[in-house]
Amino acid sequence: MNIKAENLCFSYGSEQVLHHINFEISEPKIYGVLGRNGAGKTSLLSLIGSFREPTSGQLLIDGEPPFENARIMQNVSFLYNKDFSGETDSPSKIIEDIRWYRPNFDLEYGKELIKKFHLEGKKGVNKLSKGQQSAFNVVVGLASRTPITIFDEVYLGMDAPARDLFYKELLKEQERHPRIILLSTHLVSEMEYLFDEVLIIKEGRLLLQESYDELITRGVTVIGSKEAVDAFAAGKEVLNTEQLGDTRSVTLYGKLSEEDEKYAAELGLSIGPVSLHDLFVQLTKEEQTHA
Amino acid sequence: MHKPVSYPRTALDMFLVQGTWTIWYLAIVFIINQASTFVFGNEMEPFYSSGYVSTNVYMLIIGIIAIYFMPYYVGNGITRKNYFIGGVIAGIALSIVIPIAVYIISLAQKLIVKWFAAAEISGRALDNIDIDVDGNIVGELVQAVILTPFVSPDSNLIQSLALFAFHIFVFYMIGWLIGSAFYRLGVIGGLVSIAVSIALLFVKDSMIRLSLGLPLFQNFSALGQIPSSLAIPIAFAVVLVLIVLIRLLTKRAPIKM
Repeated sequence: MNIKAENLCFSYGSEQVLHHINFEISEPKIYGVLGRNGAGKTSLLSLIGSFREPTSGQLLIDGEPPFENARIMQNVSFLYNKDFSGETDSPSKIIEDIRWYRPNFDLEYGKELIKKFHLEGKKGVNKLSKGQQSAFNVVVGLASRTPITIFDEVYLGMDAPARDLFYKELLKEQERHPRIILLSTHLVSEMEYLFDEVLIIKEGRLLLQESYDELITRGVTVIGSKEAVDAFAAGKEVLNTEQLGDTRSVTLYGKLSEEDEKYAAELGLSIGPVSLHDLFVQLTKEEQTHA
Repeated sequence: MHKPVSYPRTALDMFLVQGTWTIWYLAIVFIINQASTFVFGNEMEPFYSSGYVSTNVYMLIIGIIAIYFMPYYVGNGITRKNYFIGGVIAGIALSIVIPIAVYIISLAQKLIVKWFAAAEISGRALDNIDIDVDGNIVGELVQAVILTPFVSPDSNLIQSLALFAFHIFVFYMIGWLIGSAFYRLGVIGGLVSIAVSIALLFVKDSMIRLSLGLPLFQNFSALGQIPSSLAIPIAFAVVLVLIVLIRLLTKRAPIKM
């Protein structure tokens, strides 16, 4: 399937949340949707999930607006940090019902996931812990096998082993049944290895859409002795500095020129890739206001 | 490509869920009805009459919560349109099934009473209650909700069941309208929808009274001018207005998250 946004705008009343967003997604890959709190991630994802309509501009899925389009809506799952307080049915019972709505739903796989995440039993979803409710969302999203699956910060409250299981299952599923997976998160450092492509949203605008491999060449980490690193970093944009004994590590923004590389070699510095986390913090930080 | 889920599925789902609630509801009304006679020694009220009165309130309530199927369905990739049509069909089906169930239970009740001969069903059925047409608007309002125009099943079974079904369907739709208005428009819009609902309820009731030749409430005696041949079409027009309003409120409703 294909998702295309053209000049997409969205407002809540008089407050404009999304400003003229343009992008296109066609390949069944895992897309990281990153942005700070309130940047508009959830608003954008809820438009793709047909929970809301754009205020202006267009959002097209396979060339058609998804809102109230039965053929498209059945193929898009939108999982978010939902309020389950009224949901008295057990996870197993709910997935038995959901399979009627999702053409590719795999009930066997759903049951298997329920076991893996320890969600068996007759306990209503409203009685589960926050982390278990999130895990249940993950189960529904994975087992639905919709060609477009959106996980909007679904990991909230999940403990580390459960999150790890989620990431592993996600990658396995992606290999077996490739689909467009949109993953929005704050936990950039923990999840970055999952992303094939990254979209960063800043203050309601799309800052960039790039492949992960491309994006992390936008910066480098330089490690070496304190003096050598300082000499090399002089005049360059430093994102982050860390020190252990006499060894210093700095994260620099921007690609290195051949001369830089030669110079680094002369100084005996080792050069490594930058983390997406550091880049994300740098790219989305607010401009300093000068008094 | 699979054919998308359509309204027969949503109608069946909603009917089964609401039908389960209804079994509980009928069981409770039956127990209360029996207890009032066998435990408290009151004169036995026919179950058909108890059901006729209390089902109005029951349908109003399940109508109000019918709006909560919408976020569930949209979250599962089903359109608001299919939710809406499914909800209307489920409401019609319930409105047909409940009067028949209540009637069958009341027949069973008569048999039980015959076997035990411990109590006698009072002849005081709803058709013997005179409405108090004194012009007090609040009093009339309460009476209009509680004492919807009644035809005894003994005098005309089909007409009685049809009227029962019509009343409870209107209450279901009114509940759904109020629920949708609160969901979509917030408190102010919700309160306006209650006022609209009360007005529609009075029109529907007055039209049914007119067609049955019953006296009208004093505040609405002006409606008596309407020729009785128009009464039934106007009563159905009330249902149509409810259907249109609910669809308008839910058609493009954003889903709350």
